[in-house]
Amino acid sequence: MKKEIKILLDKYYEGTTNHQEEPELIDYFFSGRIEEELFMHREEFLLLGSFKNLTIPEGRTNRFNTYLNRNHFQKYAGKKFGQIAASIILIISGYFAGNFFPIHDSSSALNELKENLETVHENTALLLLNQPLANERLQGIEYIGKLEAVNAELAKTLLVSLNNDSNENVRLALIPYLLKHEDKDLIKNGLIKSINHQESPLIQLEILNALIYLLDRNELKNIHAEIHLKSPNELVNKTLKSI
Amino acid sequence: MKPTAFLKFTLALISFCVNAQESIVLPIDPAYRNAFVNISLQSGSIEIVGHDKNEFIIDVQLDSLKTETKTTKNKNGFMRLGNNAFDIDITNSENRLDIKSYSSKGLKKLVINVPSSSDMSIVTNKGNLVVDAVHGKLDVTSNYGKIDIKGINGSVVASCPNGNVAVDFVEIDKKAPSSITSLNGKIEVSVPKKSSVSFNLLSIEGGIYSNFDMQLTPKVKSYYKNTDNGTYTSIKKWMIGTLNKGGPSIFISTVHSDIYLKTTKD
Repeated sequence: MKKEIKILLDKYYEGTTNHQEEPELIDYFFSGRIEEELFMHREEFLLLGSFKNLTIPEGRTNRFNTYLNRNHFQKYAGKKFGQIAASIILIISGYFAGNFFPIHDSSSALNELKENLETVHENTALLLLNQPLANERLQGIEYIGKLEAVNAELAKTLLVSLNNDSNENVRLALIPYLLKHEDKDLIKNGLIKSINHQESPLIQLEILNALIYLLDRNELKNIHAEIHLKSPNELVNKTLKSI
Repeated sequence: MKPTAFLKFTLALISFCVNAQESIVLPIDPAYRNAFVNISLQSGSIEIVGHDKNEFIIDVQLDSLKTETKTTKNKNGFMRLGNNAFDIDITNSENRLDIKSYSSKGLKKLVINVPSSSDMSIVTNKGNLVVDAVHGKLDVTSNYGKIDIKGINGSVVASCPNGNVAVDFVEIDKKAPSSITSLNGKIEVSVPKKSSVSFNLLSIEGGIYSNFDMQLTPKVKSYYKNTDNGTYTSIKKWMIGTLNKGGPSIFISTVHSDIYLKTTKD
């Protein structure tokens, strides 16, 4: 499996993968069973996976440059501004288009604009969540606050961040937004899995709060058996016993 | 020269060399992006000061070599000479300054002058952290130490589980949120009196204090839940308050200590 993925990765960075092979790579990186050696590619494919409904550009130059500069991750930061600028231009052009062109069916046009805005916010959030500075990832989470709902792709990305983001502030900020996703089981299982390897009492308490909100009384009773905290804080223990 | 005199001379020489302060100057190339400072230390304090020059100036201050008196015979009658071996890697590439040290001893403090617009990501496991007059984005962590940030106008993300945090904004970044967390430490935040800010505050076991009047209201109502016996369960609640018209968010959370908010003259 590892060998196959490595071959596909080489093809991907050479720009020779086809439309069947790219989803295969995305699925592999979303599976959560990633070889340590390939972990460095994870973020890119999670991000790409989030855009998989959009058209993938034909040009491979930028991607190849990214590959070459992989170890200098800060270089990604430069790309971000162009992408965010493009998002902003999209919003502005949407606004002007709405003003200058007559709209026959105003409600459907408005809905379309609303959907576009949701997509822009979602994509901007995903881009920012992958930035090296915690400040920018926090900004990304603020964009999620502007969304009406969190879809499955974004919910999965947030769960990955909850388990892997090195910054406590970022992990803390994203937890309430997981509750905006409709698949209760996905979030419940993700939160329980995550709380077991969180070390910060603040994060553990925030996850418990989210579970209290999410689950009814009987379900809450059942989660006790599934929670095994690493060095629990006295306050967290007390809280856990109270639910 | 007698062996003891020679030993004393050698120790004095080692001590002199070890205590010497190394100063390294690395230029900024205007052709590349804004300066970025990335520091990761296992042990040692860090002081970063913004300046208006186009260079990084790095002073590495080392711990003095601890020798023990001849009378301290702690290993089979042998005297302990001390061991301050440590490593530090400093690289500067395209205005990105990387400093890494995995040594748990030897390094006392890093004092670094950086262009005031620098962004930075700084982690020290054991040591204090001071940032002064830097206007970029600050992402700072000290696991066992305190954090003191002053004279800034960018966004701050600070984690300081076991120490106090003080952040003094001279101006609030209107575009980016800030967030400060601690487990056991007191958090003190100062903002200019005329600034518009939204505070999101959480002190689970401590209090919230300020030198100005601000109405606080619970933010996350959805965390209140109707239970079987008709009461409400609320484990914790964020409190939200606004200064002037409200604006960019500052999240402040601590488990066991207090939060202090101050306004300063503009």
